[in-house]
Amino acid sequence: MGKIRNPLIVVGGGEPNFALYHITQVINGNNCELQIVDITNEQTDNYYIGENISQNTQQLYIVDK
Amino acid sequence: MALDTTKKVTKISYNGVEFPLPEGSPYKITTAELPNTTIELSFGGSVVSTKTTDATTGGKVSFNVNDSGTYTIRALDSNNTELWTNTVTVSDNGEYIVKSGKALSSYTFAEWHTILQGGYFSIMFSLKDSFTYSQSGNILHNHKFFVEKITQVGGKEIVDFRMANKYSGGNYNIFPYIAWVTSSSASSWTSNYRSFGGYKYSAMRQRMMEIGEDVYSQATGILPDDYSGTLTTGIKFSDLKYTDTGLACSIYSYSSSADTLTLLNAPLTAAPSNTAIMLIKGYFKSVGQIDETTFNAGVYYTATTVSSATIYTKATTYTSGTTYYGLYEKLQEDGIFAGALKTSNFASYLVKFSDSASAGGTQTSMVSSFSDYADIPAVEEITGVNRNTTLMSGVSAQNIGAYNLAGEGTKKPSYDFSVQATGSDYWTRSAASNYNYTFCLIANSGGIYSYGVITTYGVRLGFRLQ
Repeated sequence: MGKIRNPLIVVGGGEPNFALYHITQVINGNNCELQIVDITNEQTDNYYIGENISQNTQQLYIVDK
Repeated sequence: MALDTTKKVTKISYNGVEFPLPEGSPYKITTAELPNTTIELSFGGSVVSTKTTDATTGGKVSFNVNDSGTYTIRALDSNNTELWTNTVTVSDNGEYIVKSGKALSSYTFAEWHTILQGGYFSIMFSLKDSFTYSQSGNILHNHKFFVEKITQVGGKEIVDFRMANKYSGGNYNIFPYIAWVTSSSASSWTSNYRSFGGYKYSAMRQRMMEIGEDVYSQATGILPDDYSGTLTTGIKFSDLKYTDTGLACSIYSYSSSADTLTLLNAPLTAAPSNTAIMLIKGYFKSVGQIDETTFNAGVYYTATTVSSATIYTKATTYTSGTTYYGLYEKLQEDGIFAGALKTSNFASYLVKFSDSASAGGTQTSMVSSFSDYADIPAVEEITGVNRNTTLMSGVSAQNIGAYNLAGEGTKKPSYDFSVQATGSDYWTRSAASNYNYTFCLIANSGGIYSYGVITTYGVRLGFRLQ
């Protein structure tokens, strides 16, 4: 699994479907968890315009705003 | 708040549902080597993976890794002896190419060939990598060549090398000209140096050609057959015979708008204008001081310089100590550059260029094609501009002297200002379309200039290997 970088990378591929996300990063030592939720309006921090691919294909792209 | 990019993602939830962690690695480290080479990848002081190249072809090996940072790559031969070591720092997602840790020159030409056949020359080496050729007695000795272009062809690669500095020895002039009698005296000639026929039919290209190839020359010093004056220098066309066969020489009119040669019928009467484009099939070559037996067995000529033009006259009586010239239908020996390449240590890996160049004169569209082992670059291959280009400033490229035609090639990727400027004052193979007697030259500044084809400048030889 990759680290977070700019643009955020979570490898995979597929059809793009632009959307807005809010991401919360929960840090645990050198590791972290990303909690991603759909949002409908731009927020003040950590919102991203990304390309969401369905969980069925286990593919997810998130591209930094 | 920005996300902390130093943390490793171990879990992702999406709208409250855990998202399966994608498989695969964000970083790919790729290198390549000759057959049976072990590539060892280390990170943080520990070996994380080893792979060995294909036993027959060699080639690429790739490692997928997860951690950003600096990796060390070692290449080891089959005895586990280190060949080279290199490092790469991965940070952004993607593939990282690790070049060979050894110089291009530390591989043999046979190894280059193996690498090119395996299609991984571009993995191991970079544009502008260079080597200095060493072969005592070869005119290429001690000349530096750099990688000008690497081309993928069906899984293999071919590489173009270019001389870093111009070659300025020997005779490399382009001076095709026409010298017809222009008065009642055959000693009065015009010596109009023309670019008709372009590089393809130039004396300069003859330096790049091989034994037996068809060569053409401008019809210098040839009189029409009905010339009635006293002949002191020059030759009536009907007297123009090949030295070795005694057969009549052929003469053609050349169309630079169509790049065609049309055979003219003998006898040739009425001198054409000095702007007519006439080419004879064949070329004059000095044969030095020959003995009388040789002289009597062939047709030989003497040369005289009249109004800067070399005028050939048929020799009727033998004079010891005279330098004679022969007229030959085909090239008698390799041009100096073709000869140097074909006797080089990489001769068996040479591939011919398929080049194009202006058909010469002032016409603005016709480029002709030809194929040689040795070439010199066109302006467009160096600068990317031609006479039709609009520069970023909005002015025509012709404002900076780029009168070269479109279609002589595309810019080769190694050229930036430094490469372009080195070896300055050298001929290109591009005729300048603004006059009918000029070719384009790359000058000290790296700029493009039109110079008369009589002028002597260096050339930057190129060759292509597979």
